[in-house]
Amino acid sequence: MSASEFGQQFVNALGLGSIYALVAIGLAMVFGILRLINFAHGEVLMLGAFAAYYFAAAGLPFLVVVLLAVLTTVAIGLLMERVAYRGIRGAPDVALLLTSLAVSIALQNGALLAFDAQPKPFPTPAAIQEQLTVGGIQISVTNLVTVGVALLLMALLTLFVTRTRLGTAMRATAENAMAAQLMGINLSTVIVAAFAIGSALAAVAGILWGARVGRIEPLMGFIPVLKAFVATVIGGFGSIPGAVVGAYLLGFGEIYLVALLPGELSGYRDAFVFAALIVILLFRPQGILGSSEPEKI
Amino acid sequence: MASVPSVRPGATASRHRGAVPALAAVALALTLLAVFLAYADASFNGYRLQIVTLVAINATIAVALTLTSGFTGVFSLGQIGFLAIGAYVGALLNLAPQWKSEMFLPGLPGWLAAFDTTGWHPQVALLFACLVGGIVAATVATLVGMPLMRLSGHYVAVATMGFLIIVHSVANNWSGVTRGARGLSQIPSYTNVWAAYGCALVAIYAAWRLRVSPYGRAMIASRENLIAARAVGVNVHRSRMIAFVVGAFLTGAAGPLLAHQIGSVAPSAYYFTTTFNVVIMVVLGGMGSISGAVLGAAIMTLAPEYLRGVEDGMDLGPLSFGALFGLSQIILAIAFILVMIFRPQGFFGDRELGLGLLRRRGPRQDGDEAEVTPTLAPGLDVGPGDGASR
Repeated sequence: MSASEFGQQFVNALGLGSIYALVAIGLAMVFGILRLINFAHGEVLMLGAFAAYYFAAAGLPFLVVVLLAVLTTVAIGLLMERVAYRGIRGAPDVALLLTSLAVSIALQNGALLAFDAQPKPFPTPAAIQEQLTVGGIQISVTNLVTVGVALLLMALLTLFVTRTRLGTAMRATAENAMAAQLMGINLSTVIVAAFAIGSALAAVAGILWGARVGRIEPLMGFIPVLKAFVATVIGGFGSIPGAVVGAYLLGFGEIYLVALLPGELSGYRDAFVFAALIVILLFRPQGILGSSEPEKI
Repeated sequence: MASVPSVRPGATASRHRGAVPALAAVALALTLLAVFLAYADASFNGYRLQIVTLVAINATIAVALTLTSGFTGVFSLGQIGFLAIGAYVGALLNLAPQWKSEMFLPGLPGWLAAFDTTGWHPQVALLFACLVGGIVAATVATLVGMPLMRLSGHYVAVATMGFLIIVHSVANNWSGVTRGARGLSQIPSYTNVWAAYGCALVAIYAAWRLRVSPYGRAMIASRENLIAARAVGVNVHRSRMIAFVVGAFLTGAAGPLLAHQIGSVAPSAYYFTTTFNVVIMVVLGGMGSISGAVLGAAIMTLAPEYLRGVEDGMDLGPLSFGALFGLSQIILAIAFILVMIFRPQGFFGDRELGLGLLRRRGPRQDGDEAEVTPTLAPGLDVGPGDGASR
């Protein structure tokens, strides 16, 4: 691999990792508070991308499109929480997991009915589609924008979680839900906040994914959520910084794996990713940054 | 109460009184099933017969998952990976040699490509494929289960899901053997209702025997309270391994049945949608109930056939709906969520249907576990005679 190719892949991996991170934060936040692995998070991402597609088709300026898409997606995420997850709060882990799979399948098929299985070209603004050449390295503006937006949102999230009352309440609930409730924290408020923030980030991730891939389709959420999910496992279930680190590790691992593997093996990249996941679960189930007790027999 | 030795001379005889009607009921049920299958085999058209057959194949898979996950509480999302292994093994064994040649499957080892079952009796070839499929799946399960069965809760669900994704990825990419996403076709249609129901009955019997054996009790004990089970000396890892490997064997054996029924094997048919369908069967029937799994399999196989009418479009007064593909999946998913919210234990929970009807005179106790034992093991623990003495 030449130096310029390495550099190109580096930016590419940063972009991919950033999208994974935005998705993984939402998963980790909900998991930390509810112990729910929300598979339907991928469908939230997909709906965010489609919302952007339809608002853009209405001829609105792109920033307005993004804003409206995020708001729509947050509404959908909150609706999902209210309809499907509130009724099974406190159920066994596996029941929660299966319910989220059901929500995911219902939304996927609903989207197939509503939007058609045919992929749609994503209306990325022309300014973002350009390629820059810096020191012999070709960099797509999409990747730069992706990384910039992700870092900005993560910084805002950090401020929110550490500096506001609600953010502190969320961290307290993730630490110990029972104790947090005894201290007067309203569990429902915290859960709603987690779903709202997670959905907003997923919507942004969906738009960035659409810009990256160039087209959107109803089943597009499946792969990012699986990968984000692996990222949260790598980082330790429920740990937000861990999820971000895991997401970037996964982005780099995946990009360089494909670049280095011979062509006929690159199709196996998901197999490698999940083999790594299993190895991590076995030897360090608390993740690389997590500190919770491993659940082993 | 069984541990208290009875001094009444009639006690032994009265214990067996419970077993005789139970056996008679089983014999009656099997006869009715045989009559129905003979009728279906003779008069149903191919499409309806296929659905009847699929009920049995799905029941086998659902019972296997009940065994693996329902009994032990170790939730596996990788079950369909074993089904895929069985299906591919069966297809590769029984494909006619001309379809296994260098031209189609260059990666196949020479002996397997030359392996020719076309001269065999179809049912023998099918049985052979089921056994080999089951053995290969069980072998893989032993290797995979050794480490994975040490995990608990959603960790194991996630790890087994990783296994499913790896199997899918291999099936999709190992073109020389699996033909990748195109899959294998031209698989001879050997499966008939007798083979499918035979396999399902074997699975049900195996699961039931395991459930009432000390191993089965160890599984339930470790599910109910891990620490207590270990404290009384239950080898949790071993009982989980038995459940996982036997479940994988039964699922792997169902794979060739499915391949020889459908006539083709493709990776997309053995992935999350199928996994989810089987999970719904088991959860709907009640995790840990064998008859629940069978009922769940029947409902989940037949319901989409009825819902398909909805998908073709309909007229509701002035409203007219066009074809709505995928609507049945949405309906099933929503039904599943409702079950999760309002009846998380499914139809039966841990209990079994059927034999319990004969045991109304027996002592009734509170709690699932107490009721399972007498209905599952007639005459073993609690006989009606004991109840009468109260």
